Amino acid sequence: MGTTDITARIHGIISRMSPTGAAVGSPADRLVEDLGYDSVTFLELAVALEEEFDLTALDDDQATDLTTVAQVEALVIGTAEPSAPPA
Amino acid sequence: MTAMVTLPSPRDLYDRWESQQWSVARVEVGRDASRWETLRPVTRRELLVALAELEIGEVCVTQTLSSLVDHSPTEEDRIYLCTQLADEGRHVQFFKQYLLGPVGVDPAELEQPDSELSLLSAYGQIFEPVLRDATRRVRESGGDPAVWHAGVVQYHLVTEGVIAAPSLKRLREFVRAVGGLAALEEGLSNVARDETRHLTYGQTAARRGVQNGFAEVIGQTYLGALEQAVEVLVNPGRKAVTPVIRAALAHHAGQLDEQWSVARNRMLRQLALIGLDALRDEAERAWERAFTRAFAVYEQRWDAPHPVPKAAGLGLLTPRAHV
Ligand SMILES: [Fe+2]
Ligand SMILES: [Fe+2]
Repeated sequence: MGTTDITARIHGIISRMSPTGAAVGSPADRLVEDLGYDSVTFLELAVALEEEFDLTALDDDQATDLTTVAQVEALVIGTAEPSAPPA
Repeated sequence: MTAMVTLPSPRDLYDRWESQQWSVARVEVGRDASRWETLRPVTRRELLVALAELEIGEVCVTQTLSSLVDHSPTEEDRIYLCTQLADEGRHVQFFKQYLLGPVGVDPAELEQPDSELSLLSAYGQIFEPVLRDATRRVRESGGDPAVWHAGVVQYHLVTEGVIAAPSLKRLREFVRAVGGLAALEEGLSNVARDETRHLTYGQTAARRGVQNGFAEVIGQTYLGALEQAVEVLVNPGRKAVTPVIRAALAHHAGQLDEQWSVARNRMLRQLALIGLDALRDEAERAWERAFTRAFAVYEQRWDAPHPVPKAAGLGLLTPRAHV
């Protein structure tokens, strides 16, 4: 599966789970300031991404700061299983 | 020696009770129903488990308080404790109506001791037997004052002070963060106000007990209860949400640590308030040991570390609730 497809799925999940219903406009969008995420929805998003992309074991050097959509993309694309099921 | 903070008398607490009345019916729990339909799975689950835990705890304290009422040391204590019994009954009604109403829980889930919700309740599985035993002994001893004071420690200081109050505080913050649950916010705020009177009574009664020759039994009961109180807080029987995404793990573990840190501070503050600050070091050691043990039980049960030690091990968290 191409990176573009994964990116589109990530954007879809982030947009769908945004508490304000805001859609991802660009990778530079910030989860909290632009998309309305808070501590509760951030945890929901993390769990949804883990399930969707089968993120069961992430690298030890993964980022600990997930502020923007681009950082989420980098985390998922860098670690998603190649066999992740299509949406 | 510094002067001790003045605590209200049972009579003062009775007067507060008269002026702080509320009714479950007026909270109108049904107004939260539409919000529950839109909650996402993790949030829904966390809220459901926390509410069921409180409901199970409230049923237990309602069923066990009467032996402390019957054997009150003074009439003033008895009259205050009667108000508390009424409060606990009201709390059961609130949580029950809320769970059966907007949350949509099946009544059998609440009533059957082997239902999934009952088995998930750390309080029900771990501490309820301790409290039932302590209050039964008050009755069996015919109200022996030492046994009565041990009962107040298990009931007011440990169950209400160390276990319930920090959970209630965290739940209220979580509910505010979720948003759109006005009836739950209002009900929890009413319950918290009642519980403040209850904890205060426990401190008043225990301090008086310490001054009247029951320091040994009060101190030893308190220290002895900490291991199980911590086990309830950690709840090794329930698999905790453990995100693999580090930013989420750090955040989630930080919130748990914050709640436990509130419990720890309260545990130590109560000790000072009742005049047993000399036991502080011993209490801190018992607290640390209890966390080490609860985390080991968790890891053995789930074959994975609890999110808090996991986050600490990855350098994502410096725990404040234990060392
Ligand atoms: Fe209560
Ligand atoms: Fe209470």
